[in-house]
Amino acid sequence: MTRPIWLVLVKEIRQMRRDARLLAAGFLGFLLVAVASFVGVQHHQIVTQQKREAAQTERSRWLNLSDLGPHGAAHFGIYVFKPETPLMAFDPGVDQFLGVSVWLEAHKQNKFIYRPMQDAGAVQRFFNMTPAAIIQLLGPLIIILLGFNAFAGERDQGTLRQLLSIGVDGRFLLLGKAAAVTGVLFLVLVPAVAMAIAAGIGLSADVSWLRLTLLVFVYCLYLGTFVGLTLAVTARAGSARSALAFLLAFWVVNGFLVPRSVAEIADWAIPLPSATAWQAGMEAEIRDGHATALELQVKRELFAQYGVDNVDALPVNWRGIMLQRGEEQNYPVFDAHFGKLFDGVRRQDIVYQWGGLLAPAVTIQSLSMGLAGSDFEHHKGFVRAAEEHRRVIQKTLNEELTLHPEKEWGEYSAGPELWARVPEFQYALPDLRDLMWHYAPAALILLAWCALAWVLALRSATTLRP
Amino acid sequence: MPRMIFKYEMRQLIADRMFPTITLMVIIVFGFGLWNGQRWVDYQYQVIASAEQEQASALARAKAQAERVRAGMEEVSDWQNPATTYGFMEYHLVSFAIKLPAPLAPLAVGQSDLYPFVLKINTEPQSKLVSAHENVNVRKLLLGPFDLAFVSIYLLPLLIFALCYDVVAGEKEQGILVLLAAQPVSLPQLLYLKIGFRLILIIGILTLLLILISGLISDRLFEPQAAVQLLVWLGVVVAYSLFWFLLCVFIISWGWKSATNALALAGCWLLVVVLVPAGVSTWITAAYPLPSRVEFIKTMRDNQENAWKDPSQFIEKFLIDHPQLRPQVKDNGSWASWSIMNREINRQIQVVETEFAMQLQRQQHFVEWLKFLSPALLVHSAFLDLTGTGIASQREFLSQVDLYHAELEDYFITKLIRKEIDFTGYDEFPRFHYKNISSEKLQASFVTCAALAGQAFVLAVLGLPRLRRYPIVEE
Repeated sequence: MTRPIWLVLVKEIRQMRRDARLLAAGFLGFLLVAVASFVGVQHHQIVTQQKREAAQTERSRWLNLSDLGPHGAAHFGIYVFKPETPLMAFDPGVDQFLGVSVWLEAHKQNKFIYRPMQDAGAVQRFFNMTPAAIIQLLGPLIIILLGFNAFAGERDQGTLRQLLSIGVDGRFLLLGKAAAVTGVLFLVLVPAVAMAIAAGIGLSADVSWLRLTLLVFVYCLYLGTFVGLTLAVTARAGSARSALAFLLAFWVVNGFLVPRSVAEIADWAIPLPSATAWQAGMEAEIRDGHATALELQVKRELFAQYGVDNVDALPVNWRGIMLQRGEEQNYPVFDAHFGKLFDGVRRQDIVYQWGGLLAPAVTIQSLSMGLAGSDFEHHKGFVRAAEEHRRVIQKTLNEELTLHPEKEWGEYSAGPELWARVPEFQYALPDLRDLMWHYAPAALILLAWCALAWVLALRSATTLRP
Repeated sequence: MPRMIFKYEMRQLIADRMFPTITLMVIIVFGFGLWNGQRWVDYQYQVIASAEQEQASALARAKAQAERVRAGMEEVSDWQNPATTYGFMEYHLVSFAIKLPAPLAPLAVGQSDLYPFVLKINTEPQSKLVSAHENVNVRKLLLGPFDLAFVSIYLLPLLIFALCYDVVAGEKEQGILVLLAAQPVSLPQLLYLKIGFRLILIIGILTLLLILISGLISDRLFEPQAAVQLLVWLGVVVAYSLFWFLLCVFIISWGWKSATNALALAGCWLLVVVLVPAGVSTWITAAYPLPSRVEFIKTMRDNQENAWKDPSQFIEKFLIDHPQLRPQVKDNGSWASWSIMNREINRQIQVVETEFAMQLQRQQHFVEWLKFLSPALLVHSAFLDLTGTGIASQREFLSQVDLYHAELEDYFITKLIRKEIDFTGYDEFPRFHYKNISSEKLQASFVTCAALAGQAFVLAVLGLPRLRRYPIVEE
């Protein structure tokens, strides 16, 4: 049974090899993926190194702070940097549009600052050539160029009639041609991507094999969808010309029209609060950590607790208690406002994923970024981790201050021993299993696309017109 | 002869089933693009209105509280007291720097979704402002907007291809070309007339669009240069269309089948719109990397740490620069010293920021030249200039913000040093007024038009000799 498929495969490959234009297109595709991978890995290496060094410098800066009050140190704060994950070399996702660092200081949760794209010019934003973007956009194009002729070309030349007359099963033809297209495609893509991934993994040992395997799987589904669609169209088309016209139109719609349109529609359907209004709303609810009312209340409670009537008689420092209470009373405010903003983004992302019903590119974008850990959902995890760390810092410092009564602000100064008690900031990618449901729509829709494409292809192959 | 060809072309087009489909597509994508651009501008105005309201109500609140405090009806800690200069400056001052959208802003979102257009200014370090931004979904930023610029740059060429790929080649395939060649018209003449007809059609569509846009921005059309800018915008789009039309002529001149023409044109489109820009962007990233913000943060922190170790050095530095204020500072309270220290630390950070900005500008200056490699990049950059949505316009805005920040600081610190503790200047402290001077940069757009026309001309010249040898029958 495999023999007819094999024969078709050999014939197709031979035909493709004789077509100089196809060879050129294949070589161009290989070159693009290779260059994008090389540049991606190089950029990734530099940025990883910079961030690691900067994080180390910040840590040693913190450990070597001069003698300072604990609250003074809290105001000096720490900058933390978002680490790069190895798979970001393949798909940096929205990383360039997110800030690189956040300042963890007393009293407030700051926003991330310095988005690389804000510094870059318009040219860099025009089309960012990453391995993922190239495969998402040019992979389908290569498939179309390899496959649009598969059935329609034979029909134009009259060879399809001959094949059918000797009783060849259309499904064998289909599988043979699909194997040929897929084989050539893999020859173009796999070496370049493998190089990139190997280099990426070489950078860091903590690559998640689950993520990598799933990433390979979703790309196979995506490209498989296009192989199926191309063969279905070419099997039904009246001529090679109309097959090509239809497939190219679909390619433009898939790669250019739908993603932008769906993003606009998601933005229109679920508006995010403007930065100014959001900030003002949060500031209106934040209560001042140094407010006179809070000070009086804390003192009153302490007097009652220790049975004294003046601050000098207290065995603890009321300032530490006040500051910590000031921090804690604002936690729910930060959580609510950041939560509201993040929730809006998440809902937009869900709308976007459903947009995958219009074009498979939308689903692969969501899944690829998600698996590479370079989408907003993962960024959110980092924001949360950084804020948790900020709260640990404040608690450690304020508790230390509480233990040391002082007459005036800043009388007590702490030293390296206290700074070292603040743990070093650690961040690891969240477990994929916790985030899996977020990507369910995209994953299901991509599966459906692939199934639909192959059902169509098989049906067209079994009912071939000569 | 031209009139006859135009007449039959028109009849043929109307009879063609593709034509209504294409027309409908054009209306939808242009309409959608314009709607998205307008939506973004509306959003900006909405944010601006709410910022202005916030500013007004904060001021009103501060005034009311100050009156209550002065009347002894309310007690408030010194540093929150709106009746004092220090309290007002530190706690109540709300002043927004606002960048109004340019008249043509609905035509391109450009980079404006990446940059802040409303900044809350107070006497705190303004280094934070550099990274301020609007809340736009980052995925949308990554994909880019579906605006009229996108439609013109990416989709307009495809529309032109749909109209032109089978000109002459289609006639040859149907066997009509031999008949046409028997008429008193040369092949190049026939081809240019047919292409010319389609060019007029596209210009007609664009002119209708222009009228629609004029209606949309009618209230701002009479601002200085707005109308001129709109015409220049049309000029750029027409020049870009001309480039693609003549590319069609060039491809057709090879005498291929219409399907091959379509494939070749699609390849050119991919090259001009995707691959060359991608190559340029990759090359820039690799060869001229942006100065690193991570490094920048390190330098900034070094300065900050230095300042925290010995704050008094800054007061001394300030007094060396302003010797006349020394006696006043000496016997003034800690507020003035604190403000001076903050100001000097800010200035230190500002020095690092300025150095960074210079590095950036050098990089971008070089990048500017690379846009001549692709008509798509050229047109994109002209759109950003015309609609005031590029980095140049943003840089101008930020430099105005810098000046304003310094002015505001001077106003308050001088008062503090002069011991003007009671504050009454609620209506007289400096306000920000945006001066839009991007409209003075029309010449760049003219260069773009000229460059595009030049590229189109080269294509026309290259195609012409081959047209004379065009095989009118299949060999």
